[in-house]
Amino acid sequence: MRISRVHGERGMALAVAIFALVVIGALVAGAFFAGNQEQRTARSSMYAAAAADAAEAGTAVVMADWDQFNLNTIPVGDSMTLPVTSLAGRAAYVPTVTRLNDELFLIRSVGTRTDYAGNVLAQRSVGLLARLSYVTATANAAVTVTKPIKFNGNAFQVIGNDSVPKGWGAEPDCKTGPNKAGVRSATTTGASSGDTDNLFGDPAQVANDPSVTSDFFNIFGDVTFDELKQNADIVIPYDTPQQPAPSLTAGPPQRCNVGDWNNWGEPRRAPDAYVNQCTGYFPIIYASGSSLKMSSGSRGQGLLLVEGDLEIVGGFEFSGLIVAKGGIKINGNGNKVTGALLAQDVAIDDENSISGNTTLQFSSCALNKAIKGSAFGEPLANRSWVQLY
Amino acid sequence: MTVRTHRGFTMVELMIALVLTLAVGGVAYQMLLRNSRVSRAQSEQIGVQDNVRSGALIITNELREVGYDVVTADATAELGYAPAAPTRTDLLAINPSYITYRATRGLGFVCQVTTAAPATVLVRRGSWQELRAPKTTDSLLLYVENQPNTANDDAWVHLGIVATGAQNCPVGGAGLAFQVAAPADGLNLTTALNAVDVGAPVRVTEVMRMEHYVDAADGQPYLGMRSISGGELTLRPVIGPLAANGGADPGLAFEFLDANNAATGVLANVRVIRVALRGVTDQAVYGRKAYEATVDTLGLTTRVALRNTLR
Repeated sequence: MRISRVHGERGMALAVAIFALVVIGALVAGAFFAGNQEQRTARSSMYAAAAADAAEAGTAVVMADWDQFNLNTIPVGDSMTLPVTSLAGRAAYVPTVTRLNDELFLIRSVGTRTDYAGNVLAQRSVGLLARLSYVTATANAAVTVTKPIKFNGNAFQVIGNDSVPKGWGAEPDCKTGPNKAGVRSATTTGASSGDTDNLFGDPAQVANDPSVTSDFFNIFGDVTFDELKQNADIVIPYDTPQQPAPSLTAGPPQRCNVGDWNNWGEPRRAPDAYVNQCTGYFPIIYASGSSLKMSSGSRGQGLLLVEGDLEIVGGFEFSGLIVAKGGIKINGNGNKVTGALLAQDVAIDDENSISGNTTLQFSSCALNKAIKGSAFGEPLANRSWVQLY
Repeated sequence: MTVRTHRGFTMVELMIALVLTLAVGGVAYQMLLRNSRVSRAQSEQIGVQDNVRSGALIITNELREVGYDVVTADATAELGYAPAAPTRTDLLAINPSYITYRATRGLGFVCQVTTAAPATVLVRRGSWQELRAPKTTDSLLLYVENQPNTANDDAWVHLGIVATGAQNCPVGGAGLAFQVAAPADGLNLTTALNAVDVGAPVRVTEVMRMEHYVDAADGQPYLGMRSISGGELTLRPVIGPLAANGGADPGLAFEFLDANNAATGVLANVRVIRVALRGVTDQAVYGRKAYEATVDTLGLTTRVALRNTLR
């Protein structure tokens, strides 16, 4: 029997299969597209969160490490953009600090998240309103002590008459105010009749001053001694003698080397030889040891906080405010403190003595410059955080 | 006998072909149906994910600038002003299913203050940041410096906005003028404005309500928002549909935490808001139970640290 060959069958299996493949393909493509879109959305959210976190880090870092030297000198209305800081995960922030007025600043931080080629994938901006926090000049005399001072010799001078430091007259806001007392003490001043020729002021000395309390040495308006310690630019943890002097970076251009803990700023001005770049640097210096001994040939400016005793042996120049929790011992020649000196004498064995060729001069100008220059920024107490667009 | 041509099929062939066609067709149909359901379920689930994720972003952006301010004793002494509650929080009413709050809509910096009528606060236009243009239904929060040598007497005073307009600042640049009115709580407007420094920050705020509600249009629950200070009476749907509230997995649940991470109902103590969102699919979808279509849900929880309550 012959088996015939069948020709011209009209089946539809192929058409059905192709149709099914097309439909399935379309569904798979649709699901893939939707899934891909969702993945992109999720990734965008992740990038946005990374950028926002970076922006917040920018404001936090500026506040935590307030750069008094550069930020406090921004003119009102001007801004300073700080360098880009890169974080892990291709995130980075750029803070810009704008001075709003004498007290207030706006810190704007732009956070970005980039791809491997540096293209920006997400960007967010946040801001923080900050205010300068600085001590209130409560000093009302050239020297304020709790215990009497032992004055020796006839070469020392304690002057309460307000004076502008030599060469500082051209600086803004530097003018004299009312004269103050030479020495104020919570007990007796310790000055004998032979010492009074060396004490000047209005009056020259005030004994048993009820305003000289523990708070006087620890609370300076909005800021306490402890807060100042925490915001110190320079911390000296040991008792070895110190010999600070202004220093410059290698450059060019050479700038005041604020990273050098032996640089306490420049108290000198023309016509004396001086380091111009450091005249605007008023650090907060905190000596945490039992005593701080200054070697001959030391100079600086700002706020000097001494946890223990302060010993000066000659050739020491300082402009600003010195607060010692212990006693003060000053001898040798060429010592000049312009501003105010406070000694709390907290320990039983604390003693105050002043001798040698020493000048302790009250100066509201030096105090104010040091106070303003060493002020540190803090977020506003209320409503400091701002969302920027 | 030789058969030259065979036209047609035998009954048996036809039956086999029919059975095979039905079987293949049935399998193909099942595949298509399942694919279609999976695709639709995926699409719906993606929609829900988008929904809750967007909701979390919107809520976070709305709430994180929330904070409070305190009129200190020193500020009271300087301004001669003691509000009934010295701590003025932006949280005005809180509940697990709604929250009423003061939201910031703009920020600027003063370039001039005029105390003579009409009392005006002029803000530098170049520094103005806004989410939207200010309205007279908004409020103005103005930073008052008082004595410059201390921060203890600084305060934010809350003022009404009578009118807004364009006006140049005294020193260069365009400005945005706010004619302001004192609140009815004893604040002396002139005293306050005299204590404002050029450069002081200004915030424009709006009272908002965010709430879980059932939309009348489709009967579905949504996260809705309305401007209370703007006089809006009905909620606008922002994201949804959400799961219904009242069950074990509510569509929207706020939890208010204090500085110790403990739940609190005291407005001024709230530091963090925990937000749980549960979205639902628009339609019932087939999930693992292939025989039964159900409304799928997806939950997302986020925590908003209220930035201006952290100090």
